Amino acid sequence: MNLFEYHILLPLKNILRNYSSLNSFYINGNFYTYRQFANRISAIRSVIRSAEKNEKIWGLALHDDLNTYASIFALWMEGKAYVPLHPSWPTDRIESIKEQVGCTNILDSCDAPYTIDLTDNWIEASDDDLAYILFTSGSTGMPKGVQISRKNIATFMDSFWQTGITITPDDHCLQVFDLTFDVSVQSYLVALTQGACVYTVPYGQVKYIYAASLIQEQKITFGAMAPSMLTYLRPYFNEFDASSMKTCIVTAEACPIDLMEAWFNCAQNTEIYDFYGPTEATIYCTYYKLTRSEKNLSLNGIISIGKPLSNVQAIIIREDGALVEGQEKGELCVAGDQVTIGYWKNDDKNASSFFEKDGKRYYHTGDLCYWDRSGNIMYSGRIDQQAKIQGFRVELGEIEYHARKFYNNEHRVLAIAYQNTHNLTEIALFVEAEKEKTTDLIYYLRSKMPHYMIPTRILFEKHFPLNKSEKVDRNILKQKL
Amino acid sequence: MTENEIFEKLQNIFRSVMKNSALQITFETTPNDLAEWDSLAHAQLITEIESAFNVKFSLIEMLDLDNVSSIVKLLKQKIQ
Repeated sequence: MNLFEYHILLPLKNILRNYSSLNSFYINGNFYTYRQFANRISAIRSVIRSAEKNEKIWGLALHDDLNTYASIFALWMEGKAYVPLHPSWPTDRIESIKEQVGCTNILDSCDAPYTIDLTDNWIEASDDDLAYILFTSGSTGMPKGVQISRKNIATFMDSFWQTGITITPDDHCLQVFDLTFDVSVQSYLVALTQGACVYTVPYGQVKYIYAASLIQEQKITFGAMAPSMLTYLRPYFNEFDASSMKTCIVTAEACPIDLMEAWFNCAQNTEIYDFYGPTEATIYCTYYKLTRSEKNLSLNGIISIGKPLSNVQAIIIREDGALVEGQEKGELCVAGDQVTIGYWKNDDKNASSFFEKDGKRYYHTGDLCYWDRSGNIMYSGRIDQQAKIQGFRVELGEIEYHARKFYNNEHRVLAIAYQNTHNLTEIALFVEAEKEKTTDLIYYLRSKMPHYMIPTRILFEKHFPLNKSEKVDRNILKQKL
Repeated sequence: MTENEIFEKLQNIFRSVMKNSALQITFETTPNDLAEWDSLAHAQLITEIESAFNVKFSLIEMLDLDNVSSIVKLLKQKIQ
Protein backbone atom coordinates (compact mmCIF):
# COMPACT_ATOMS: atom_id res chain seq x y z
CA MET A 1 0.00 0.00 0.00
CA ASN A 2 1.37 3.41 -0.86
CA LEU A 3 1.37 6.51 1.37
CA PHE A 4 -1.66 8.21 -0.16
CA GLU A 5 -3.76 5.08 0.24
CA TYR A 6 -2.53 4.61 3.80
CA HIS A 7 -3.16 8.19 4.97
CA ILE A 8 -6.21 9.19 2.94
CA LEU A 9 -8.05 6.59 0.88
CA LEU A 10 -8.02 3.73 3.41
CA PRO A 11 -9.13 5.80 6.45
CA LEU A 12 -11.92 7.31 4.34
CA LYS A 13 -13.02 3.89 3.10
CA ASN A 14 -13.23 2.65 6.70
CA ILE A 15 -15.27 5.66 7.72
CA LEU A 16 -17.62 5.29 4.75
CA ARG A 17 -18.19 1.64 5.62
CA ASN A 18 -18.36 1.79 9.41
CA TYR A 19 -19.74 5.23 10.18
CA SER A 20 -22.09 5.69 7.26
CA SER A 21 -24.94 7.03 9.38
CA LEU A 22 -22.82 9.83 10.88
CA ASN A 23 -22.82 13.30 9.38
CA SER A 24 -20.02 14.08 6.96
CA PHE A 25 -21.00 17.65 6.03
CA TYR A 26 -23.12 20.57 7.11
CA ILE A 27 -23.59 22.78 4.07
CA ASN A 28 -25.93 25.74 3.81
CA GLY A 29 -28.17 24.55 6.61
CA ASN A 30 -28.31 20.86 5.57
CA PHE A 31 -26.62 17.81 7.07
CA TYR A 32 -25.33 15.02 4.80
CA THR A 33 -24.34 11.58 6.11
CA TYR A 34 -21.24 9.65 5.11
CA ARG A 35 -23.57 7.30 3.20
CA GLN A 36 -24.86 10.21 1.11
CA PHE A 37 -21.27 11.35 0.61
CA ALA A 38 -20.25 7.84 -0.51
CA ASN A 39 -23.15 7.74 -2.96
CA ARG A 40 -22.12 11.04 -4.50
CA ILE A 41 -18.51 9.89 -4.78
CA SER A 42 -19.38 6.72 -6.64
CA ALA A 43 -21.90 8.49 -8.85
CA ILE A 44 -19.30 11.07 -9.87
CA ARG A 45 -16.75 8.30 -10.50
CA SER A 46 -19.05 6.88 -13.12
CA VAL A 47 -19.21 10.30 -14.80
CA ILE A 48 -15.41 10.48 -14.78
CA ARG A 49 -15.13 6.99 -16.28
CA SER A 50 -17.54 7.77 -19.04
CA ALA A 51 -15.67 10.91 -20.16
CA GLU A 52 -14.67 10.87 -23.81
CA LYS A 53 -11.17 12.13 -23.15
CA ASN A 54 -9.25 10.21 -20.50
CA GLU A 55 -7.30 13.10 -18.98
CA LYS A 56 -5.14 12.93 -15.84
CA ILE A 57 -6.03 16.41 -14.66
CA TRP A 58 -9.58 17.66 -14.37
CA GLY A 59 -10.92 21.14 -13.82
CA LEU A 60 -13.21 21.39 -10.79
CA ALA A 61 -15.77 24.19 -10.76
CA LEU A 62 -16.11 25.21 -7.13
CA HIS A 63 -19.50 25.36 -5.50
CA ASP A 64 -20.33 25.11 -1.87
CA ASP A 65 -22.12 21.78 -2.19
CA LEU A 66 -21.66 18.08 -1.50
CA ASN A 67 -20.94 17.31 -5.17
CA THR A 68 -17.88 19.55 -5.20
CA TYR A 69 -16.30 17.81 -2.20
CA ALA A 70 -17.36 14.39 -3.50
CA SER A 71 -15.75 15.26 -6.86
CA ILE A 72 -12.35 15.67 -5.19
CA PHE A 73 -12.47 12.17 -3.73
CA ALA A 74 -14.02 10.70 -6.88
CA LEU A 75 -11.09 12.08 -8.90
CA TRP A 76 -8.55 10.79 -6.37
CA MET A 77 -10.14 7.32 -6.33
CA GLU A 78 -9.93 7.33 -10.11
CA GLY A 79 -6.21 8.19 -9.86
CA LYS A 80 -6.71 11.74 -11.14
CA ALA A 81 -5.90 15.26 -9.98
CA TYR A 82 -8.01 18.42 -9.71
CA VAL A 83 -7.45 22.04 -10.60
CA PRO A 84 -9.89 24.28 -8.74
CA LEU A 85 -11.63 26.89 -10.91
CA HIS A 86 -13.61 29.51 -9.08
CA PRO A 87 -16.83 30.69 -10.78
CA SER A 88 -16.27 34.20 -9.40
CA TRP A 89 -12.89 34.51 -11.12
CA PRO A 90 -12.72 36.53 -14.33
CA THR A 91 -13.18 34.36 -17.44
CA ASP A 92 -9.72 35.39 -18.63
CA ARG A 93 -8.11 33.86 -15.58
CA ILE A 94 -10.10 30.62 -15.81
CA GLU A 95 -9.30 30.27 -19.53
CA SER A 96 -5.62 31.00 -18.95
CA ILE A 97 -5.44 28.25 -16.30
CA LYS A 98 -7.33 25.71 -18.43
CA GLU A 99 -5.04 26.47 -21.33
CA GLN A 100 -1.86 26.21 -19.26
CA VAL A 101 -2.91 22.82 -17.85
CA GLY A 102 -4.49 21.66 -21.10
CA CYS A 103 -7.52 20.19 -19.38
CA THR A 104 -10.82 19.99 -21.22
CA ASN A 105 -12.81 17.90 -18.72
CA ILE A 106 -14.52 20.03 -16.10
CA LEU A 107 -16.57 18.66 -13.22
CA ASP A 108 -19.30 21.13 -12.45
CA SER A 109 -21.95 20.06 -9.97
CA CYS A 110 -24.38 22.51 -11.54
CA ASP A 111 -24.85 20.53 -14.71
CA ALA A 112 -24.20 16.78 -14.48
CA PRO A 113 -27.03 14.38 -13.65
CA TYR A 114 -25.11 11.48 -12.13
CA THR A 115 -26.00 7.81 -12.27
CA ILE A 116 -25.34 5.74 -9.17
CA ASP A 117 -22.81 2.90 -9.26
CA LEU A 118 -21.60 1.95 -5.79
CA THR A 119 -18.05 0.77 -5.20
CA ASP A 120 -15.42 1.83 -2.73
CA ASN A 121 -12.31 0.33 -4.26
CA TRP A 122 -9.98 2.71 -5.93
CA ILE A 123 -7.92 2.66 -9.10
CA GLU A 124 -4.27 2.11 -8.33
CA ALA A 125 -2.10 5.17 -8.76
CA SER A 126 1.45 6.04 -7.84
CA ASP A 127 2.35 8.35 -4.96
CA ASP A 128 4.19 10.39 -7.57
CA ASP A 129 0.96 11.12 -9.44
CA LEU A 130 -0.59 14.54 -8.92
CA ALA A 131 -3.43 15.15 -6.46
CA TYR A 132 -4.10 18.81 -7.27
CA ILE A 133 -2.65 21.89 -8.92
CA LEU A 134 -3.30 25.19 -7.19
CA PHE A 135 -2.79 28.40 -9.11
CA THR A 136 -1.40 31.31 -7.14
CA SER A 137 -0.63 34.89 -8.06
CA GLY A 138 2.41 35.27 -10.34
CA SER A 139 4.53 38.41 -10.45
CA THR A 140 4.84 38.22 -14.25
CA GLY A 141 1.09 38.70 -14.64
CA MET A 142 0.40 35.01 -15.28
CA PRO A 143 -0.89 32.82 -12.42
CA LYS A 144 1.51 29.97 -11.63
CA GLY A 145 0.42 26.40 -10.91
CA VAL A 146 1.84 24.60 -7.88
CA GLN A 147 1.77 20.83 -8.48
CA ILE A 148 1.04 18.79 -5.37
CA SER A 149 1.53 15.03 -5.59
CA ARG A 150 -0.22 12.29 -3.68
CA LYS A 151 3.00 11.75 -1.75
CA ASN A 152 3.10 15.45 -0.80
CA ILE A 153 -0.37 15.29 0.76
CA ALA A 154 0.17 11.93 2.46
CA THR A 155 3.41 13.23 3.98
CA PHE A 156 1.59 16.34 5.16
CA MET A 157 -1.06 14.19 6.86
CA ASP A 158 1.66 12.18 8.60
CA SER A 159 3.30 15.43 9.80
CA PHE A 160 -0.03 16.84 10.93
CA TRP A 161 -0.95 13.88 13.16
CA GLN A 162 2.52 13.94 14.68
CA THR A 163 1.76 17.36 16.21
CA GLY A 164 -0.50 15.50 18.65
CA ILE A 165 -3.73 17.11 17.43
CA THR A 166 -6.53 14.53 17.46
CA ILE A 167 -9.94 14.48 15.78
CA THR A 168 -12.72 12.00 16.55
CA PRO A 169 -16.13 11.30 14.96
CA ASP A 170 -17.63 13.57 17.65
CA ASP A 171 -15.82 16.64 16.37
CA HIS A 172 -17.46 19.52 14.53
CA CYS A 173 -14.84 20.88 12.14
CA LEU A 174 -14.91 24.29 10.49
CA GLN A 175 -14.05 24.72 6.79
CA VAL A 176 -13.94 28.45 6.02
CA PHE A 177 -11.34 28.45 3.26
CA ASP A 178 -11.89 28.82 -0.42
CA LEU A 179 -11.06 25.52 -2.20
CA THR A 180 -8.52 27.42 -4.33
CA PHE A 181 -6.47 27.78 -1.16
CA ASP A 182 -4.71 24.76 0.36
CA VAL A 183 -5.74 25.22 3.99
CA SER A 184 -9.12 24.01 2.69
CA VAL A 185 -7.46 20.63 2.00
CA GLN A 186 -6.35 20.37 5.64
CA SER A 187 -9.81 21.47 6.76
CA TYR A 188 -11.73 18.73 4.98
CA LEU A 189 -9.10 15.95 5.06
CA VAL A 190 -8.38 15.78 8.78
CA ALA A 191 -12.13 15.72 9.48
CA LEU A 192 -13.21 13.21 6.81
CA THR A 193 -10.40 10.73 7.50
CA GLN A 194 -11.52 10.59 11.16
CA GLY A 195 -15.29 10.47 10.64
CA ALA A 196 -15.97 14.01 11.90
CA CYS A 197 -18.42 16.47 10.36
CA VAL A 198 -17.22 19.34 8.14
CA TYR A 199 -19.11 22.65 8.52
CA THR A 200 -18.64 24.87 5.48
CA VAL A 201 -19.14 28.56 4.85
CA PRO A 202 -21.29 29.04 1.72
CA TYR A 203 -19.95 31.30 -1.01
CA GLY A 204 -21.52 34.73 -1.06
CA GLN A 205 -21.65 34.94 2.72
CA VAL A 206 -19.62 37.33 4.82
CA LYS A 207 -17.15 34.74 6.07
CA TYR A 208 -16.42 35.94 9.57
CA ILE A 209 -20.09 36.47 10.36
CA TYR A 210 -21.14 33.07 9.07
CA ALA A 211 -18.18 31.35 10.78
CA ALA A 212 -19.12 33.03 14.08
CA SER A 213 -22.67 31.76 13.80
CA LEU A 214 -21.41 28.23 13.03
CA ILE A 215 -19.04 28.28 16.00
CA GLN A 216 -21.76 29.50 18.31
CA GLU A 217 -24.79 27.60 17.05
CA GLN A 218 -23.27 24.38 15.72
CA LYS A 219 -20.76 24.12 18.58
CA ILE A 220 -17.65 23.92 16.44
CA THR A 221 -14.83 22.05 18.22
CA PHE A 222 -11.97 22.35 15.72
CA GLY A 223 -11.10 24.84 13.04
CA ALA A 224 -8.41 26.66 11.13
CA MET A 225 -8.88 30.40 10.63
CA ALA A 226 -6.92 33.33 9.30
CA PRO A 227 -6.04 35.88 11.99
CA SER A 228 -7.86 38.59 9.98
CA MET A 229 -11.11 36.73 10.57
CA LEU A 230 -10.55 36.93 14.32
CA THR A 231 -9.57 40.61 13.99
CA TYR A 232 -13.03 41.31 12.53
CA LEU A 233 -14.68 39.38 15.38
CA ARG A 234 -12.59 40.90 18.13
CA PRO A 235 -15.01 43.78 18.91
CA TYR A 236 -17.60 41.10 19.75
CA PHE A 237 -15.40 38.73 21.78
CA ASN A 238 -17.17 39.67 25.04
CA GLU A 239 -20.52 38.44 23.70
CA PHE A 240 -19.21 35.60 21.52
CA ASP A 241 -19.72 32.07 22.85
CA ALA A 242 -16.79 30.04 21.53
CA SER A 243 -16.67 27.70 24.52
CA SER A 244 -17.15 24.60 22.33
CA MET A 245 -13.87 25.24 20.50
CA LYS A 246 -11.21 22.78 21.68
CA THR A 247 -8.52 23.29 19.06
CA CYS A 248 -7.99 26.37 16.94
CA ILE A 249 -5.39 26.73 14.22
CA VAL A 250 -4.43 30.23 13.11
CA THR A 251 -2.70 30.32 9.76
CA ALA A 252 -2.30 31.98 6.35
CA GLU A 253 -1.13 35.32 7.74
CA ALA A 254 1.27 36.69 10.34
CA CYS A 255 -0.44 36.26 13.70
CA PRO A 256 -0.55 39.17 16.21
CA ILE A 257 0.10 38.17 19.84
CA ASP A 258 -2.40 40.62 21.38
CA LEU A 259 -5.16 39.18 19.19
CA MET A 260 -4.31 35.69 20.42
CA GLU A 261 -4.39 36.78 24.07
CA ALA A 262 -7.87 38.23 23.50
CA TRP A 263 -8.91 35.05 21.66
CA PHE A 264 -7.69 32.87 24.56
CA ASN A 265 -9.96 34.91 26.88
CA CYS A 266 -12.92 34.53 24.56
CA ALA A 267 -12.48 30.86 23.62
CA GLN A 268 -11.97 29.64 27.18
CA ASN A 269 -11.48 25.95 26.36
CA THR A 270 -9.32 26.17 23.27
CA GLU A 271 -5.75 25.31 22.52
CA ILE A 272 -4.23 27.57 19.87
CA TYR A 273 -1.66 26.53 17.27
CA ASP A 274 0.00 28.95 14.86
CA PHE A 275 0.76 27.06 11.63
CA TYR A 276 2.93 28.43 8.84
CA GLY A 277 3.56 27.18 5.33
CA PRO A 278 3.59 28.09 1.64
CA THR A 279 1.44 26.18 -0.89
CA GLU A 280 4.70 24.89 -2.43
CA ALA A 281 5.43 22.82 0.70
CA THR A 282 1.87 21.45 1.08
CA ILE A 283 -0.23 23.41 3.52
CA TYR A 284 1.98 23.70 6.63
CA CYS A 285 5.73 23.50 7.30
CA THR A 286 6.16 24.75 10.86
CA TYR A 287 4.00 25.32 13.92
CA TYR A 288 4.02 26.92 17.33
CA LYS A 289 1.67 25.84 20.11
CA LEU A 290 0.65 28.83 22.20
CA THR A 291 0.47 28.58 25.97
CA ARG A 292 -2.48 30.03 27.83
CA SER A 293 -1.62 32.67 30.46
CA GLU A 294 2.09 32.36 29.88
CA LYS A 295 4.43 34.44 27.77
CA ASN A 296 4.45 33.33 24.14
CA LEU A 297 7.38 33.88 21.83
CA SER A 298 6.93 36.86 19.52
CA LEU A 299 8.78 39.42 17.42
CA ASN A 300 7.35 42.92 16.91
CA GLY A 301 4.01 41.63 18.17
CA ILE A 302 3.95 38.68 15.75
CA ILE A 303 3.87 35.12 17.15
CA SER A 304 6.79 32.82 16.34
CA ILE A 305 6.12 30.33 13.56
CA GLY A 306 7.74 27.69 15.75
CA LYS A 307 9.55 24.55 14.72
CA PRO A 308 9.44 22.46 11.54
CA LEU A 309 6.88 19.64 11.24
CA SER A 310 8.34 16.15 11.56
CA ASN A 311 8.74 15.59 7.80
CA VAL A 312 10.09 19.07 7.04
CA GLN A 313 13.72 20.19 7.07
CA ALA A 314 14.18 23.93 7.50
CA ILE A 315 17.26 26.09 7.04
CA ILE A 316 17.80 29.84 7.04
CA ILE A 317 20.29 31.12 4.50
CA ARG A 318 22.13 34.28 3.53
CA GLU A 319 21.89 35.79 0.07
CA ASP A 320 24.99 33.81 -0.98
CA GLY A 321 23.35 30.54 0.08
CA ALA A 322 25.45 29.99 3.21
CA LEU A 323 23.67 29.15 6.46
CA VAL A 324 23.11 32.07 8.85
CA GLU A 325 24.85 32.11 12.21
CA GLY A 326 23.23 32.74 15.58
CA GLN A 327 20.21 35.03 15.41
CA GLU A 328 21.14 36.44 12.03
CA LYS A 329 18.20 37.03 9.67
CA GLY A 330 17.98 35.25 6.33
CA GLU A 331 15.60 33.48 3.99
CA LEU A 332 13.72 30.45 5.28
CA CYS A 333 14.09 27.45 2.96
CA VAL A 334 12.37 24.09 3.36
CA ALA A 335 12.99 20.55 2.10
CA GLY A 336 11.36 17.13 2.44
CA ASP A 337 8.57 15.08 0.90
CA GLN A 338 6.00 17.84 1.35
CA VAL A 339 7.83 20.08 -1.12
CA THR A 340 6.24 20.28 -4.60
CA ILE A 341 7.96 18.78 -7.62
CA GLY A 342 7.70 22.30 -9.08
CA TYR A 343 5.51 24.78 -10.92
CA TRP A 344 3.48 23.53 -13.86
CA LYS A 345 5.47 23.97 -17.10
CA ASN A 346 7.52 26.86 -15.76
CA ASP A 347 11.24 26.10 -16.13
CA ASP A 348 12.43 29.61 -15.30
CA LYS A 349 10.52 29.80 -12.05
CA ASN A 350 11.51 26.24 -11.15
CA ALA A 351 15.18 27.05 -11.69
CA SER A 352 15.02 30.08 -9.43
CA SER A 353 12.73 28.74 -6.68
CA PHE A 354 14.39 25.43 -5.86
CA PHE A 355 17.99 24.46 -5.13
CA GLU A 356 20.06 21.51 -3.99
CA LYS A 357 22.09 21.65 -0.79
CA ASP A 358 23.74 18.73 1.02
CA GLY A 359 21.77 16.23 -1.05
CA LYS A 360 18.40 17.82 -0.31
CA ARG A 361 16.14 19.85 -2.57
CA TYR A 362 15.04 23.09 -0.95
CA TYR A 363 12.31 25.61 -1.75
CA HIS A 364 12.97 29.35 -1.32
CA THR A 365 9.98 30.55 0.74
CA GLY A 366 10.79 34.26 0.31
CA ASP A 367 10.15 34.71 4.04
CA LEU A 368 12.69 36.58 6.12
CA CYS A 369 13.29 34.72 9.39
CA TYR A 370 15.78 33.93 12.12
CA TRP A 371 16.32 31.19 14.69
CA ASP A 372 15.42 32.18 18.23
CA ARG A 373 17.71 30.76 20.95
CA SER A 374 14.94 28.30 21.83
CA GLY A 375 15.15 26.78 18.34
CA ASN A 376 11.91 28.40 17.20
CA ILE A 377 11.70 30.35 13.94
CA MET A 378 10.81 34.04 14.12
CA TYR A 379 9.05 35.61 11.14
CA SER A 380 10.21 39.06 10.15
CA GLY A 381 8.54 39.85 6.80
CA ARG A 382 8.96 39.15 3.09
CA ILE A 383 12.11 39.53 1.03
CA ASP A 384 10.03 40.32 -2.06
CA GLN A 385 6.81 42.12 -3.01
CA GLN A 386 4.31 39.49 -1.96
CA ALA A 387 1.40 40.38 0.30
CA LYS A 388 -1.30 38.41 2.08
CA ILE A 389 -4.83 39.75 1.64
CA GLN A 390 -7.37 38.00 3.85
CA GLY A 391 -5.08 34.99 3.74
CA PHE A 392 -4.71 34.99 -0.06
CA ARG A 393 -1.25 35.30 -1.53
CA VAL A 394 -0.93 38.30 -3.81
CA GLU A 395 2.09 39.21 -5.93
CA LEU A 396 2.05 42.98 -6.17
CA GLY A 397 3.86 42.59 -9.49
CA GLU A 398 0.80 40.91 -10.99
CA ILE A 399 -1.39 43.91 -10.09
CA GLU A 400 1.23 46.29 -11.52
CA TYR A 401 1.45 44.22 -14.72
CA HIS A 402 -2.27 44.52 -15.41
CA ALA A 403 -2.41 48.21 -14.42
CA ARG A 404 0.51 49.01 -16.77
CA LYS A 405 -1.25 47.14 -19.55
CA PHE A 406 -4.38 49.20 -18.98
CA TYR A 407 -2.30 52.36 -19.48
CA ASN A 408 -0.51 50.84 -22.52
CA ASN A 409 2.74 51.15 -20.58
CA GLU A 410 2.46 54.94 -20.74
CA HIS A 411 2.49 55.43 -16.97
CA ARG A 412 4.55 53.98 -14.21
CA VAL A 413 2.54 52.21 -11.53
CA LEU A 414 3.39 50.85 -8.13
CA ALA A 415 1.31 48.61 -5.86
CA ILE A 416 1.91 48.86 -2.13
CA ALA A 417 0.51 46.71 0.67
CA TYR A 418 -0.18 48.60 3.88
CA GLN A 419 -1.91 48.13 7.23
CA ASN A 420 -5.21 49.97 7.57
CA THR A 421 -6.55 51.42 10.84
CA HIS A 422 -8.02 48.01 11.77
CA ASN A 423 -4.52 46.52 11.33
CA LEU A 424 -5.62 44.61 8.22
CA THR A 425 -3.68 44.54 4.98
CA GLU A 426 -5.00 46.51 2.00
CA ILE A 427 -3.48 47.27 -1.39
CA ALA A 428 -2.99 50.77 -2.75
CA LEU A 429 -2.03 51.43 -6.35
CA PHE A 430 0.00 54.53 -7.21
CA VAL A 431 -0.12 55.82 -10.78
CA GLU A 432 2.38 58.36 -12.08
CA ALA A 433 -0.08 60.61 -13.91
CA GLU A 434 -2.49 63.52 -13.53
CA LYS A 435 -5.50 62.64 -11.42
CA GLU A 436 -8.34 61.09 -13.41
CA LYS A 437 -11.37 58.89 -12.95
CA THR A 438 -10.56 55.33 -11.96
CA THR A 439 -13.78 53.59 -13.00
CA ASP A 440 -12.37 52.16 -16.25
CA LEU A 441 -9.13 51.06 -14.60
CA ILE A 442 -10.99 49.23 -11.82
CA TYR A 443 -13.32 47.67 -14.38
CA TYR A 444 -10.31 46.43 -16.36
CA LEU A 445 -8.54 45.05 -13.29
CA ARG A 446 -11.70 43.21 -12.26
CA SER A 447 -11.77 41.50 -15.64
CA LYS A 448 -8.26 40.14 -15.02
CA MET A 449 -7.93 39.28 -11.33
CA PRO A 450 -9.96 37.89 -8.40
CA HIS A 451 -11.65 40.57 -6.32
CA TYR A 452 -9.26 40.33 -3.35
CA MET A 453 -6.45 41.49 -5.67
CA ILE A 454 -8.21 44.71 -6.69
CA PRO A 455 -6.56 47.72 -5.00
CA THR A 456 -8.85 49.38 -2.47
CA ARG A 457 -7.15 52.76 -3.03
CA ILE A 458 -5.84 54.32 -6.24
CA LEU A 459 -3.67 57.42 -5.91
CA PHE A 460 -2.16 59.63 -8.60
CA GLU A 461 1.24 61.31 -8.31
CA LYS A 462 2.58 63.65 -10.97
CA HIS A 463 6.09 62.41 -10.27
CA PHE A 464 7.12 59.40 -8.25
CA PRO A 465 9.68 60.24 -5.54
CA LEU A 466 13.06 58.60 -6.11
CA ASN A 467 15.54 57.32 -3.55
CA LYS A 468 19.34 57.67 -3.64
CA SER A 469 19.73 54.81 -6.07
CA GLU A 470 17.26 56.47 -8.49
CA LYS A 471 14.59 53.87 -7.77
CA VAL A 472 11.00 54.75 -6.89
CA ASP A 473 10.96 55.36 -3.16
CA ARG A 474 8.26 53.04 -1.83
CA ASN A 475 8.68 54.36 1.71
CA ILE A 476 7.77 57.94 0.78
CA LEU A 477 4.74 56.71 -1.15
CA LYS A 478 3.73 54.47 1.74
CA GLN A 479 3.71 57.47 4.08
CA LYS A 480 0.98 59.04 1.96
CA LEU A 481 -1.40 56.22 2.89
CA MET B 1 -36.63 58.34 9.87
CA THR B 2 -38.52 56.28 7.28
CA GLU B 3 -37.19 53.08 5.79
CA ASN B 4 -36.59 54.91 2.52
CA GLU B 5 -34.60 57.65 4.22
CA ILE B 6 -32.49 55.03 5.98
CA PHE B 7 -32.04 53.26 2.65
CA GLU B 8 -30.84 56.45 0.91
CA LYS B 9 -28.29 57.03 3.65
CA LEU B 10 -27.15 53.40 3.35
CA GLN B 11 -26.81 53.75 -0.43
CA ASN B 12 -24.25 56.51 0.13
CA ILE B 13 -22.37 54.52 2.75
CA PHE B 14 -22.20 51.52 0.40
CA ARG B 15 -20.93 53.76 -2.42
CA SER B 16 -18.23 55.25 -0.26
CA VAL B 17 -17.08 51.92 1.26
CA MET B 18 -17.12 50.09 -2.10
CA LYS B 19 -15.50 53.14 -3.74
CA ASN B 20 -18.03 53.09 -6.55
CA SER B 21 -20.14 56.24 -6.91
CA ALA B 22 -22.43 54.59 -9.46
CA LEU B 23 -23.28 51.60 -7.24
CA GLN B 24 -27.01 50.88 -7.02
CA ILE B 25 -28.11 48.71 -4.14
CA THR B 26 -31.68 47.53 -3.54
CA PHE B 27 -33.48 46.27 -0.45
CA GLU B 28 -32.81 42.74 -1.72
CA THR B 29 -29.04 43.12 -2.30
CA THR B 30 -26.99 40.44 -0.47
CA PRO B 31 -23.22 39.90 -0.18
CA ASN B 32 -23.68 37.27 -2.89
CA ASP B 33 -24.70 39.98 -5.39
CA LEU B 34 -21.65 42.20 -4.92
CA ALA B 35 -18.16 40.74 -5.33
CA GLU B 36 -16.79 43.70 -3.34
CA TRP B 37 -19.00 42.89 -0.35
CA ASP B 38 -16.43 40.69 1.40
CA SER B 39 -15.31 40.50 5.02
CA LEU B 40 -13.17 43.64 4.80
CA ALA B 41 -15.98 45.68 3.19
CA HIS B 42 -18.52 44.31 5.65
CA ALA B 43 -16.42 45.33 8.65
CA GLN B 44 -16.02 48.82 7.12
CA LEU B 45 -19.75 49.04 6.37
CA ILE B 46 -20.61 48.20 9.95
CA THR B 47 -18.18 50.82 11.31
CA GLU B 48 -19.53 53.48 8.93
CA ILE B 49 -23.18 52.60 9.57
CA GLU B 50 -22.66 52.62 13.34
CA SER B 51 -21.09 56.05 13.23
CA ALA B 52 -23.56 57.55 10.71
CA PHE B 53 -26.62 56.39 12.68
CA ASN B 54 -24.98 56.61 16.08
CA VAL B 55 -25.85 53.03 16.99
CA LYS B 56 -23.91 49.93 18.03
CA PHE B 57 -24.68 46.45 16.73
CA SER B 58 -24.35 43.37 18.93
CA LEU B 59 -23.00 40.09 17.61
CA ILE B 60 -26.46 38.51 17.76
CA GLU B 61 -27.83 41.37 15.63
CA MET B 62 -24.91 41.08 13.19
CA LEU B 63 -25.58 37.38 12.64
CA ASP B 64 -29.06 38.16 11.34
CA LEU B 65 -28.04 40.78 8.79
CA ASP B 66 -28.23 38.95 5.48
CA ASN B 67 -29.35 41.63 3.06
CA VAL B 68 -29.83 45.40 2.82
CA SER B 69 -33.44 45.15 3.94
CA SER B 70 -32.47 43.47 7.22
CA ILE B 71 -29.99 46.30 7.89
CA VAL B 72 -32.70 48.90 7.21
CA LYS B 73 -35.18 47.16 9.53
CA LEU B 74 -32.65 46.77 12.33
CA LEU B 75 -31.61 50.42 12.03
CA LYS B 76 -35.21 51.59 12.10
CA GLN B 77 -35.80 49.61 15.26
CA LYS B 78 -32.61 50.87 16.92
CA ILE B 79 -32.99 54.59 16.21
CA GLN B 80 -36.59 54.74 17.38
